[in-house]
Amino acid sequence: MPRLGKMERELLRGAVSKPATVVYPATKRGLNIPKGLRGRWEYAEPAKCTGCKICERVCPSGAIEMIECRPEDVKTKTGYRPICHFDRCTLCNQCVESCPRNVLRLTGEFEMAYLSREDMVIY
Amino acid sequence: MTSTEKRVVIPPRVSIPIGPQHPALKEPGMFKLTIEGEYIVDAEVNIGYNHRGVEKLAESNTHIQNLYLLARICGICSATHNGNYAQAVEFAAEVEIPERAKYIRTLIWELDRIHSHILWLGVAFHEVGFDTAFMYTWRDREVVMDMLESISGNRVHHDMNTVGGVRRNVPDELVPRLLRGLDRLEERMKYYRDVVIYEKTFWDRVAGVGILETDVAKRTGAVGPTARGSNVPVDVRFNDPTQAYIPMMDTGDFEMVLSDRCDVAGRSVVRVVETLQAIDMCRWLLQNMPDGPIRERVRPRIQPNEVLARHEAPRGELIHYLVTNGTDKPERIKVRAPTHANWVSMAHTLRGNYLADAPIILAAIDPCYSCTDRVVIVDAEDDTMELVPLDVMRVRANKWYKMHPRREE
Repeated sequence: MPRLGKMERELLRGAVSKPATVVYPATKRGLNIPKGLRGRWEYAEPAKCTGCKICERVCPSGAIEMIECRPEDVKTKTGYRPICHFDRCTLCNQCVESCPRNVLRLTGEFEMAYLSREDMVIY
Repeated sequence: MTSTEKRVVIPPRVSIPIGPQHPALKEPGMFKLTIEGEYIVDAEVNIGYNHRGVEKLAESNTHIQNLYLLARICGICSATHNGNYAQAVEFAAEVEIPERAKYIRTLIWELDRIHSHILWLGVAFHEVGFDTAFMYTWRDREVVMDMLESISGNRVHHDMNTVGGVRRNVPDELVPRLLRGLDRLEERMKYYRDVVIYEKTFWDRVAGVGILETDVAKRTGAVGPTARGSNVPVDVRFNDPTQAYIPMMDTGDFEMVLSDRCDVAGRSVVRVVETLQAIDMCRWLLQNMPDGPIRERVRPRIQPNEVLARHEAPRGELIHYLVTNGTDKPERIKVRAPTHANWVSMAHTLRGNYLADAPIILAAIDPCYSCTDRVVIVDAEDDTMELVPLDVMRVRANKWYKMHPRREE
């Protein structure tokens, strides 16, 4: 019987084992999402925010913009609050780290496809 | 033909451009091969399609922002650029970072090396048409990708380093999981080492292909596994260790991996054995990691200084030359990525081989086009090679356009 070379056993084992890939949109089981994943940006605790603009200054990609607080927002000390243009965000986590009052957070959410840029502005 | 005269057939010289978009490699790079029949007699490497102006952009960013910008020079070795820049800024500021931060930084570098080498192995299998092994290696690469993701929170851009240390700790409850992952990787890598050496499908395609002699490798300044596959002992981890490589090398357990085969097979063996060594290094780092803080506060304004930071990236020696001027922004940052140093030797390596072997020879230096932004010009007439920086290119281009105006006015 002709031999298949060094990979013979591996190939035969592969023929009967279950697939290594995950049928992703149908199921999320087996994706192994770790706890500290850097995902979608979130303005987590508006009540703590002072509007100090440090996050805007440190952002390496210019994704964070400080806007004047709208009527529905929690009023900050300086009257400004951050919003994130998520199309520019590189998920580096620097804004979260630099924030002196732990206002911002990167959540574990990783499904971040949108149809337009307007949808990607996170308030 | 009834003539009895002996006919000498000289095949015509044909110039074949491979690229910029080509089937062999996934990044833009143009190789102009002059061939006679099936033999490559001359090769010209044209790169620079990926010039993005990162160095200029870095001059207008703060050091902290540059960490993320430089990590994005290259997707595969992002940890090396990120860590080496952090190291350069620390050298300039003359601060010492905590011991634990050094160990974590080195751990990420070594995990990055494992994933980069396994990735290369898969690509090499793919280039020689052995796609089965390509898929199996990439399946097992997921083990190390998951490890990196669980430490740093991102699969590709780990961004673990900051000026003065690292940003995330490696929690103690993660260590057993990492060790288990390393055990699995070691078992798989030992198997792939056997596949590389004993599987004829691969070995027969790479043995004796793409010869790079030791003296040529030295003369053309090859670095990394390309040089070590030609028996040139250059490895910054051993020659000029920094961070946690210093205590690691003091143990004397690790030796530089060299091969005297000088061909693509030699480079493959060096990479595979180096992966096994990197797994051992990771294990050593996890077992000997000291407790303590992981970062030191460094003031954003860095004193005027001029430093050169070196690190052994998966592809070879990476150099960051940094000039600081007392502000929080760099005066000048120059990145010499390892692929850039390997182009010259590759132009030599291509000559005298078959055209069908060109993809694997190109892939054998593990090229990373994003890292390179200059041009190597090889002259077909007198065998000279010339490194042309972009500003010289610009001057030449201006001159040429002046002599050849596009439209008559």
